[in-house]
Amino acid sequence: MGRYFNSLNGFNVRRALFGIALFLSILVAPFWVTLVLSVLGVILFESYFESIIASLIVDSIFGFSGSGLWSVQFGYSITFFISFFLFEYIVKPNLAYYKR
Amino acid sequence: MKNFQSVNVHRINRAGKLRRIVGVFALFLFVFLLFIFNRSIAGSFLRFFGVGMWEVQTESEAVIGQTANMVLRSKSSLIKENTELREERNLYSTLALENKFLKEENQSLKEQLGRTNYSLKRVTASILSRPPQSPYDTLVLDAGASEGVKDGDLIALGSVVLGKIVAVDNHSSLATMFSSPKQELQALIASSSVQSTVYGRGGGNYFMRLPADVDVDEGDIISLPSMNPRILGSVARVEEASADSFKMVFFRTPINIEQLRWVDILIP
Repeated sequence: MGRYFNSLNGFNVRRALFGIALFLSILVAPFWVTLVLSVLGVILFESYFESIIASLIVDSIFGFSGSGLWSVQFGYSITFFISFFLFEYIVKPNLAYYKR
Repeated sequence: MKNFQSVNVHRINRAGKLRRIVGVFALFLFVFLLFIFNRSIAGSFLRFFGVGMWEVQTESEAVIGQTANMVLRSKSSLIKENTELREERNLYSTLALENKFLKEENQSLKEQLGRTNYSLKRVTASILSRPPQSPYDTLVLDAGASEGVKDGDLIALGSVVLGKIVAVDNHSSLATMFSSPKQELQALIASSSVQSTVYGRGGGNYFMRLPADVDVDEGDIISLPSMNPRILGSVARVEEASADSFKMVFFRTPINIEQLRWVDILIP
């Protein structure tokens, strides 16, 4: 199961469908749905860069100067970007689930 | 053979690593470019694609809502609601007449004082996207530069102001609510003409901190300091501690943002 989700080699249908759902959620669903899907994507798939792109899109569409986290327009993207790299390259390699 | 396989695996691993590094670098570059170039370019481009989808979503929600209403509700409940709405309409048409009379009286008084040039152009815009879709308490509206909308224009419904325009595209614009948590503005308590700073609390709620001796009661109108009636909301609660020399005034906009479909953009 894990190997199936984590596969980056070749076309991964689940990853593609998940990506479509994530990007659609930005436009048609409440923000928390996008946030939950982004976090789930990072947990389930390997190097899920789509979630960073999604955070940038959210900030670009709905944000303006002085609106975001820490009053920076791309505050949410920056926070997500840092959290993503911490989880992907520091936490994940040390978790037993991802070592399998 | 075994050695050949291990070389291949090593090459595949290296290719994977390289691909990851290139991906990370591309992302860094993308973020960097977003910051370096005009920040609104990316927003305008993405909102252009979003507008079509939001229009379809708004229309389909309306159609689904109407259909569900027709199918799910009983005839008797509809008759009852119809009677109540007719009674409400009668009341509101009386209030509308009174309102019109007061407005005309107000205008003639202003004219007597030499303040005649205060009319604003109103552009009606449909709300395409609203919180909780937006994490920043912003609204995407379907009117933009082509309709004469500019940065800083107020958005309102009737005399109730809701926020201001913060980004303008060709046929759409982005507005922020005055009730957003980071917003601060000056407002007047209509009954006492005391001016103070109002802070947004999100979801159409505001608060202000006033000296304890300022007279303010529940239901008092809070408005922007202006020649035109620009109401922010009415006082819902006043919190006063006997030992404190200040009191907290909590008020909210009379409009339910979640049920709102249209707003007016006030263009000077």
